Amino acid sequence: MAEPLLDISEFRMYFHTEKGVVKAVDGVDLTVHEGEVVGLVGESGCGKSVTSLSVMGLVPQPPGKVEGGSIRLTGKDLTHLRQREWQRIRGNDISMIFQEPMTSLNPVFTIGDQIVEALQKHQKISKKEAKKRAGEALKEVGISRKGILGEYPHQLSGGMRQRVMIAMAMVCRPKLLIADEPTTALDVTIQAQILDLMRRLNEETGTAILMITHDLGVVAEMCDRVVVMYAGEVVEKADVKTLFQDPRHPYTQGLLKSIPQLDKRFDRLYSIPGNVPDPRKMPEGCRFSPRCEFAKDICMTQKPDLLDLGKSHFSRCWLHDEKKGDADRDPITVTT
Amino acid sequence: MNEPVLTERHSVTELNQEKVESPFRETMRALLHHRSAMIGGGIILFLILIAFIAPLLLPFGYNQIDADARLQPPSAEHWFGTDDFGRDIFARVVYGARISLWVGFFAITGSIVIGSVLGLIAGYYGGWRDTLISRSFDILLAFPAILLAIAIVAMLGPSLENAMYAIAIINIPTFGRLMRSRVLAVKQEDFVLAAQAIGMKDTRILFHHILPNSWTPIMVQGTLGFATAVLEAAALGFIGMGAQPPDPEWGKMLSDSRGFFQSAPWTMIFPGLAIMLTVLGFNLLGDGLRDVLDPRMKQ
Repeated sequence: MAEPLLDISEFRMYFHTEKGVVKAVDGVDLTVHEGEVVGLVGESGCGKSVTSLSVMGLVPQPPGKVEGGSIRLTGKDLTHLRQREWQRIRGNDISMIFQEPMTSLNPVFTIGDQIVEALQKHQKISKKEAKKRAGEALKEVGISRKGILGEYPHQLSGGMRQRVMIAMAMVCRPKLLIADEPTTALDVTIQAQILDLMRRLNEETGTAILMITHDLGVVAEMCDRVVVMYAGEVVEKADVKTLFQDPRHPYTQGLLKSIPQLDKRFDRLYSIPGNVPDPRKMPEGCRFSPRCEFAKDICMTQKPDLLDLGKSHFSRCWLHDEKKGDADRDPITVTT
Repeated sequence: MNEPVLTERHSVTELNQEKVESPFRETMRALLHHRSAMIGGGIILFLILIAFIAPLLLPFGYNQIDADARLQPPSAEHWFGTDDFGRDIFARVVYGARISLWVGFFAITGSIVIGSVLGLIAGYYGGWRDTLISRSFDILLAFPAILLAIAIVAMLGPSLENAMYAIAIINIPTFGRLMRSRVLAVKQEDFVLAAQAIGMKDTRILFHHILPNSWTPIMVQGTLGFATAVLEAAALGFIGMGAQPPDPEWGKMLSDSRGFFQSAPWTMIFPGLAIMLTVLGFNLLGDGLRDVLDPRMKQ
């Protein structure tokens, strides 16, 4: 396979706080190829946002500290870049859109000013040309209202603002767009519109998307491949079809089981028992073991590796290891 | 979710076509409907106007001594009477407006600029810069303001200009701390992260994104601070640490009148009224600005 666009390997980002070291991201492997849409899934606090901010170099350091591993963008390691080099990459090679469109735009400047600012930061073009391009960028995201460039963020709805954010992020044609829960704050019909727009931009411009979300519906709709994170680690990776049809890690299975389904009757919706472990006191063995219904002795004491299950499907679970694990109790037999 | 969704380009062109108004014009319009702000603004405009044009209209120079007309009460010729040198108090009060407005303007502008930049740096970067700057502010604030001003003037030598520097210095912490606290809040906003995510430089984020979102309280405090600065200038003038004779500074005029204010009260009343009017004007405008700019007061 060709060299990936984004290659995160064994990346660790720890936060050194007064109460101890928080291992927010602890050895994450993840690749995004050109033109691909990859989903990064996990519950709140599992490290998916820190991972994405690390790719942008936006984790405040200190308290954050890169404790190992690398983040490569087309082969170039980003983990030890200087501010100046970061500024050239951000917005130009990698862009990001955020969860809260209501607050992601500067309230005191017009939409036009903000897109022009982004453009002129990275490209030497005249203000007039930049304005024209800003207008085109807005058309591309489906806003063609006249005079929009002179409007202020408070005059727009949430969905419109997220479109503006996308226009701003895409205006320099980045190779990678990181979308940090871009639809969480929007209502359902607008969510569908925004996802559709992102999918269309991905197809038309070839910009790869790293989609951070906790919504498996969004993943099913958008992504080519999925990475599931739990407590700072990748627990399962697979292409989207495989993951939904044949989830192998007990955590992924739990996630899928907890989605309500229209064609089945439940007395009560499934939920994974227990809570996310305290990031300062991670369990010794598998981090999911305290909540796992299949947990065995080895799970409590030794950390499993990310096992290759073939067809680029990986899962971090002892149950797949025939020597150490108990093959009979492979959770594959447990239907969801 | 698999239904085709509306993403046709015309589908989101609906919505309000309300008139676009910049925040600045919106504020100005609200201010024009605020009664006390308008009174304050009117007083200030009036003071500025007479400071500029009055010298053209006055029959007397502010330093024109008339030994035959000493301590005259107000009359048709001398509207505010004359002082112990026979100088026209009206002319001196009018020229005094120039001095007070000038001192107030430059002192406050100086403290706003320096205080804001220090506050921006302290709030945005934090760490040792914040410690250094904030502790310096604390040291300045530990002294009573006027005492500190006296100490500074004592070091620099008494003059109007040095009084202005002193007033500028003692007001820096007020603006610095205000700016720092605003920046601490504004830098958490998503749009700052978004600006970083499109590759903006720190200086650009500081001055282009954080500053415009932080400066409304500075504007209010600046207007109110103007009143304080005028008072402080008068106080320094009164104790002889500010304007030197024969400059017609209001505080200085007050202290000059001490010897005979019982027999010739007009020597004290008119400069005193001028100080009061100026302070009142800026306070009214400052309060009005605060009302208008405070989002909770809208509606």
